[in-house]
Formats: sequence, C-alpha cells, structure tokens
Amino acid sequence: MINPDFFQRYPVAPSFTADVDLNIVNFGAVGDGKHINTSAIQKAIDTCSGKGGGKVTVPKGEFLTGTISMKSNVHLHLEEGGMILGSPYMKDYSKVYWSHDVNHENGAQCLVSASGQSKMMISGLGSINGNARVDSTGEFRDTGNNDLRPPLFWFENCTDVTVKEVTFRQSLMWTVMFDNCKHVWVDRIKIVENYFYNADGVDIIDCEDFLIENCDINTDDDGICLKSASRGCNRVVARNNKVRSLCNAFKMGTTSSGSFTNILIENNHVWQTVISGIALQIVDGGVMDNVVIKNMVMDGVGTPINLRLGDRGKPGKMKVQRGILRNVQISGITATTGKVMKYNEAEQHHHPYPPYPSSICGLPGYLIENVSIEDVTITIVEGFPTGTSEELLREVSESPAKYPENRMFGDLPAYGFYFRHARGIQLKNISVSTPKEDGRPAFVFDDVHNATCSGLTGNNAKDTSLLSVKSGCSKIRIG
Amino acid sequence: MADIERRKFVKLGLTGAGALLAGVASASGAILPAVEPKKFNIIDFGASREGEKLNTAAIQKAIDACFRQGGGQVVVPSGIFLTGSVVLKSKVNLHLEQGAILLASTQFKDFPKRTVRSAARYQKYLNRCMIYAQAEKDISVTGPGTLDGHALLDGTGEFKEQNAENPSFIWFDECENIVIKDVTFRRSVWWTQAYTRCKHVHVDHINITENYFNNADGVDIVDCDDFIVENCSINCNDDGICLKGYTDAGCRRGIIRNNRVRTLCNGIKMGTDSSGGFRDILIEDNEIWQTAISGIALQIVDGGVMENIIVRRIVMNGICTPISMRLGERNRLVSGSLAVQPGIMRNVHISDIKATVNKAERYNDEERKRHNYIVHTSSVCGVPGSYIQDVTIENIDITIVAGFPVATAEDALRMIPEVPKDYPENRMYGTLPSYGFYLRHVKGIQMKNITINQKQADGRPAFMLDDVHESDFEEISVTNSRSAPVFSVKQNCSGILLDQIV
Repeated sequence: MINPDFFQRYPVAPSFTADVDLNIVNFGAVGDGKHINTSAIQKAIDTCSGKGGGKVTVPKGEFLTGTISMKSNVHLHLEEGGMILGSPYMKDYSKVYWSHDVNHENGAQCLVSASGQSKMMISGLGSINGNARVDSTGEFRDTGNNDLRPPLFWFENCTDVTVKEVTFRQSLMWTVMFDNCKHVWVDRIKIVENYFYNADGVDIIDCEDFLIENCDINTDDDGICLKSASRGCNRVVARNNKVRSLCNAFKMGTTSSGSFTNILIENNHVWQTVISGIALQIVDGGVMDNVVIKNMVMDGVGTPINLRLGDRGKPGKMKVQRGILRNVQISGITATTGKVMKYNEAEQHHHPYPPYPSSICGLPGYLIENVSIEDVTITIVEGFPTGTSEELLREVSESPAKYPENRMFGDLPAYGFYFRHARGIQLKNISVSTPKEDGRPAFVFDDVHNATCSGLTGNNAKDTSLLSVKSGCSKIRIG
Repeated sequence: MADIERRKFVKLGLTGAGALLAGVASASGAILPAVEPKKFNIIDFGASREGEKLNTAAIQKAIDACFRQGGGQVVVPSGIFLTGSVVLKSKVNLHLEQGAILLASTQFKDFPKRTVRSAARYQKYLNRCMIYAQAEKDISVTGPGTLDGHALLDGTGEFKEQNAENPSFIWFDECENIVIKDVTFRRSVWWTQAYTRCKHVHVDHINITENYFNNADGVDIVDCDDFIVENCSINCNDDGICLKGYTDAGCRRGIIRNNRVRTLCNGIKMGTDSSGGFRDILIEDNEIWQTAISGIALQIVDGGVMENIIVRRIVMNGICTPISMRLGERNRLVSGSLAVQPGIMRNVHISDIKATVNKAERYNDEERKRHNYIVHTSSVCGVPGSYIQDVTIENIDITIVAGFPVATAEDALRMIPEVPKDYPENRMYGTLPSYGFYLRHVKGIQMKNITINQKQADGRPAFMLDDVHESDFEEISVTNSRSAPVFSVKQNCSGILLDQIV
C-alpha cells in the first residue's frame, strides 16, 4: 500500500524574504476591469524577482491583463477581492515557447505562465478569471478547438511551486496546468464557473512529487487529470478534494505515451460527474504502474470506474509495444450512478452523455494486469439505461484506436462491471444494485485470467447471473 | 483437499468394480453346467406347436419334472407355443432352441397374480408374469428362441397399455444365481423382465425388440445385489436398463456394459423408485441411440442413497438429454424400516461420453404415437438444502445437432421451479437457462475436458451454476454461433474455479 511518504521531497510552501513587498498598483496597475495591466503586473514581478524575490500583491480590484510570466522566488498574493482578469482579445496574449511539450512545439499562449523557474507561490483569497464569456462577446468562443483559447495558468519546467486558496474561474481552456514540474503543492484552490469546452480543472503533466489536496473543483472538462508525454508522472498524491466535472473527475490520460507511477488518490469526493469518477487510461504506449485509489464517495457519476489499455497508434517518446497498465488498487468506493444533474443553461449544452457500467478493458494480447477492486458499493439510480438479456451476447468492438471513454463500446454486457483482456484481477466485497429490471449479469469476464472474486453481489429486480464468463478465460476463482 | 478425496473415490470405485465383476462372473459359470445337462423337452410333456392350444400346464410339468430330478434343461423346441404363467424352479434351465417361440396368451386368466413371500412396494407394478420364480436358486432362461408378449396394438386383447396388472415375461423375486442369456423378447405388454431382491443376476446377450406398449421397460433390476447386464441389444418404449430400489436394500454391486440400448424414455436409469438407493454400480462401454429422454438418468427422489457410481465410455447417437441427475424429495413411502429422510447422491464419476443430441427419431406410427419429447439440457440438480455431492464429469463431447426450441438470451433468465416432489425427468423444469449443463444445489463437482458444440444458434450460456459450491471446471470448450457466455454463475455460488475456458 502506498503512503504519501513516498515523496522524494515532500512538497511544501517555499519561503520568501519579507524584505521585498510590492503592490502592482505601485507599478501603474489599475483595477477597473477595463485598463490593460499586462506590463504593470509584469514589471512588479520582474522587479520582485530582480531583488532576489519577495511578495507581489494584487489588491482588491479587477486587473485586466494579457500574458504575465511568473519568476523565481516570487510570491504572488491575491488579496480578497483582488482579481487577475484575462483579456478577451488574443492580441494581449504573447506566445510562450515551451522546452519540451510535443503538443506545443510552436509555442502557445496562456494567462499566467512560468517556464524554468523555481520557488514560487500564488496565494490569497482573490481570483484568477479567464473571462470566458458564454454570451459570445469577446474573441474567444466556446468552439472546442483548444489552440485558439489560452489556458489560465501554465507552469512548465518549474520546481517548488505552491498554489493555494486562490479561486480560478471562467477558464477559456485548461485551467491550472503543471507541465514537467517538481515539488508542487496545490492546496485549497477553487475552480468554478468553468463552462467552456476543454476547461479541465488541474492538469498534471509529467510532474514529480506533486501534492494536490483540499481543493474544490467544478469544471466542464476533466477535474484532476494526469497526463504524460515524456518523463512521466511519478509520486503524485491527490487527497481530500471535492471534484465535479461534466467529463471525468479523476483521470490519467488521454495523452499517455510516458508513464504514471506511484500515484495515490485518497479520500476524495466526487459529485454529479457526467463521465467517469475514475478513468485510468494508457492508450499511447506508456506505462501505468502502482496506482492506489481509496476512499472515494461518488455522489452521482456516469461511470464509477473506467480502465482502458488501448492503442491510439500515436508515436510517443517512450512508446513501448502497446502500453502497460498494471498494479492498480481501488478500494473503498461508494458510488451512486445514474443521470447527472446539470445546473444551468451553459451546462445543459455540453456533454449530453448517458451513464455506462464500469469497465476494465485491455486489448487482445495486451492485458491489463493486477487490478484489485475492493469494498465497492455501487447504487444505480434513475437515468441509468437498463440492458436486455441480449446485450450479453452483443459483440463488443475492440476499437483499439478509439478515444478512450466510458461510452466507447456502446452498451456493455454487464450492468456492473465489464472485464475484458485482463489478468490478475482481485475482486472483493463489491456490491452493485439496480432498482430496475436489467437483463444483464452484474459482472462479465471475457479473456480474463487469474481472477479471484469474493463477496460479490448484484441486486437486480431481475434474477440475472452474478457473473458470466465468456470463452477464453482461465483460472477464475469465485470465493 | 476436495480434489484428493475425489481422486481417492475414483480409485476405490474402480477397484470395487473389478471385485464385483469377478464375483458375478463366477456365479454365472456355476449356473450353466459345463457338462451336457439332463433334458426335458416340453413336447414330451404335452406341449403343442398348434398356436391355439395353451401349453402352460405342459411347460410347468416339464419344469416340475426337471426340478424333481435335481435340475437340468427344459427345452422349448422350434415352434410357436402359446402359454400363460409358469413357475421356474431351482436348478432348472429353460432353454429356447432356435425357432422356439413362447407366445403369451392375451388373457388375464392365464396369468394368475403372484404373491411374494415378503411384501414389497414393487408389487404395485409386478404381479403377473410369464415366467415366475420365488426364492429359487440357480435358474436360467437361455437359447436363441423368442419370448413373445403378444402386445396387440390394434386394441384387441385384454392387455391394454399402461395397465400395471399386465404380465411381464420374467419376474424373479428373491432368487439367487440367475442367468438370462441369448433369448429375444418382443412385444412386451408391460416391463419386459424384473429381478427383485435377487442376488447374482447375469443378463447376457439378450435382445429386446418391438416393445411398443407404454411402460414396456427393457431390463428392470430392483433391489438386487451383484448383477451384470451385458452384451444386450435393447429397443423399447420405456426405460432401457433400469435400476430401482423399492425396499431398504436397493441395488448394490452391478455392472452394465457393452449394451446397445434404444428407448423412447431413458437409456440407462437409476430410479424413479429409489428409497433403497444404488451403490457400487459400474456402467461402461454402452451405446445408446435415438433415445427420447435421457441417455443416463440418475435419480434419488425417495430418500435413498446413491454412491460410488461409475459411468464411462458411453456413446450416445441421438439423445434428447445426455445426462440427467436429480436428487429430489418425492419421498414415496418406503414399506420397510428406512425412514424417509433427504436422499443422498454422492461419488458419481461420469467420463468419456460422446453424445450427439437431437430429437429422437421415431421410426413408425406406433412410436410416433408415444413420447413426443423435445431436447433438454443435461442437468445435475439437488433441492435447496440437499446437495448432490462429489461428482466428476470428464472427457465429455456433446454435439447438439438439432431439436432444442430456439433459445434466446432471455431464456437464461428463466426462473427454474424447484419442484422437489415432481416426477424426475429431463423435462421437469421446462426450458433450462443453459444449453450444455445446468447445475443447481451441487457441492464438489469437478468437470474437466468438456466439449459442447452447439450447432443451433443459442442465446443461453453453455453452463449455468446456481447454488454450486467447491467445484472446479477445467478445459471447457464450447462452440455456439452466438456469442453467449460459457458460464453464468449465480450469486449463491462459492468456491468455484473456472479454468481453461475456451
């Protein structure tokens, strides 16, 4: 069992000299929501950094700005009522060049950036606002084409970073993104009003020793998402967060040519999330190894658990023969699954997906290995589509290159869990209940090997089997 | 642990079979004398080949004379001899020569009711017969001749179908050292032959044919010890070779081998009456063809014990159900001292069965009038709280050619009634939720190397496990044009291993 002591260096807040204490207003910034403050804020940051570091304060007020770049040893503090407000025009965003990201070799824009810096902190009860306008004023539209919309926060190749308390809102794109960073602590941030497509909550890309905790994230796209295209995510802990997403709450992928190792996700709360509560994906030839997920309440989710070892056929720097997805322990999950609530007009337009059963699916010859799922209670509620007994016989397409998602296979042959191409499966104390009549069994195994099952229950108004085993299985033990 | 226990049984079972084989074979040798016996030709006692004349008294005279002179052979020469009921005596061999026919009278008055020395419940089904013996020793019926039951299919004659008053050909009660060899039985009006509470019974190379009447069983072995039924050719309306237990004794130490059996009911059966149980039975190297119910039907429904049963090397060419095992609770009362309690069915080893499944062919109008049964799934079913235990089923190759009603995936969800008191039969549950094997209330079953080739498109799984425990299933290979599961397992199962599921 993993515990967070595995951090090579536990992520903590860096300390800053108290000698330097600057206020952006003193550099000409005007908090009227109209005046563009890019250079004033940047000057404050540069000055602070030039003096060996210290604090830069954003006081109460709406400070409209384009791209600003954080520097080493700077603590940017947003006072209560202080807001960094993104310009609605692309001209105010300068292109920043990233050292490694294969997806952005030509550079990309963002609002708050940092590249190759260390010892930084952003804190305070103020906010960083992407100014995403659902009324279509401004240049940025909710198109789904992500290159035209700057992310809110993008730190790349940085070390010793703390982000705490700040509220991020109205992101045009991904909200908080750490790429190739080390020793990062994200604590008690809030992400709200993220109605645009692709507005992920927190993206953790190829980072090491990363702790995210106590956050409250409500976002259009994935809530807390680990990605990897290079050296991999290693030693990441996500705990005590409250996450809601119109996509996946906790995800690894889709970009997954690198690796995810030593990941601990515990004591999180997921609510009204449209796609999966937990989505673990290797589809670009990478490696996922040693992932522990425990104690998660999912209060309304489309799919509790979704594991996929696929092959999108994209070249990656660490591409191996297909990918590897192994050693995943999931325990202590209590989920209600059914139609998810949407609370306003902006949400209604997005992601109209029905719920699906949980699935753990590799590919023929490339099996997901060593997955244990223990102490899981799934209660199916209104809006979960029932299946007929014929669904059990449907040929489920392999679709190796298809975008991985809970819905990628269409209706599944089980109402609880569908396992295919997996080896070393331990299932213990899993209960799935549906109030409706579902013609499918609770569990289906197809090309599953070395599986141990005990304490499985399926409560279904129809007396279907607990488990159906398709041909090509071996060493299935039912306790 | 369970594995070891089961293996141990198999070994013991085989050893036991060898021992009992030797015992019966030597008994059989003693009955049929090596030297030329004293002969008593029935003609010499007044028997006539004229079909009209009743020869009961003449034949009985010959038997009595033979018996008085210390035994020998009563010869029935070539010709048709009308007869009623005779009583066979110790050391008498009734021999039917080539062309000899003992033709049964069609009148009840010629078959007086026989009363056995100690009452038994089987008397409900056995009370008249052509050749009767009670408490005799060293008796035999042999020869290439024929026993003709004279069953009249046109409804004339006094013997109507399904009347338990009808006579059998042979009924031996409490006899010892019996040989029935070479004779042909045809047109039986009731069970063809029954051996009740006998010891050392050897039925060898007999032929049963044209048994169109309902209830015309082939060979019934009732509460017997040490018996062999071998090399027989049996084609009959009701069960082919059937072991029954009406008393405390049950059947013990029996071998059924090298027979060719065809019936519109069950090929080889233990039951229905089963209060006395069945122990140490070896069934091997038999062929069963175009049989309308089950090839092998093993039943305990009246509180008896079935244990140490070996069934192996059986070819079934055209069977509605290859294997049907039922531990039920019909609990038909036992006349003896055995209190009715839940039955026991354990240590059953079935191996090397090759079966093609189809609706049984019926070859003429008489057959088509009867037993129009459809194909059903093989089943091993106890009742809640009473488990069938320690069963091995291995090296089974079943090809389902045709005859199942179209089964959909929805059929896999059928609630199967427990019907503990119902008459046990392959069809007792209706359509079953799997097409290969349906297992319910079973502990310790080991199935290995099972191939099921379903030629019909079937929406059900091959195997359904319901209340099955401590059981292993290995090397299971199925073919079905629909992508149905191989196994469906209900929630109330435990200790299940599924391995090498192809």
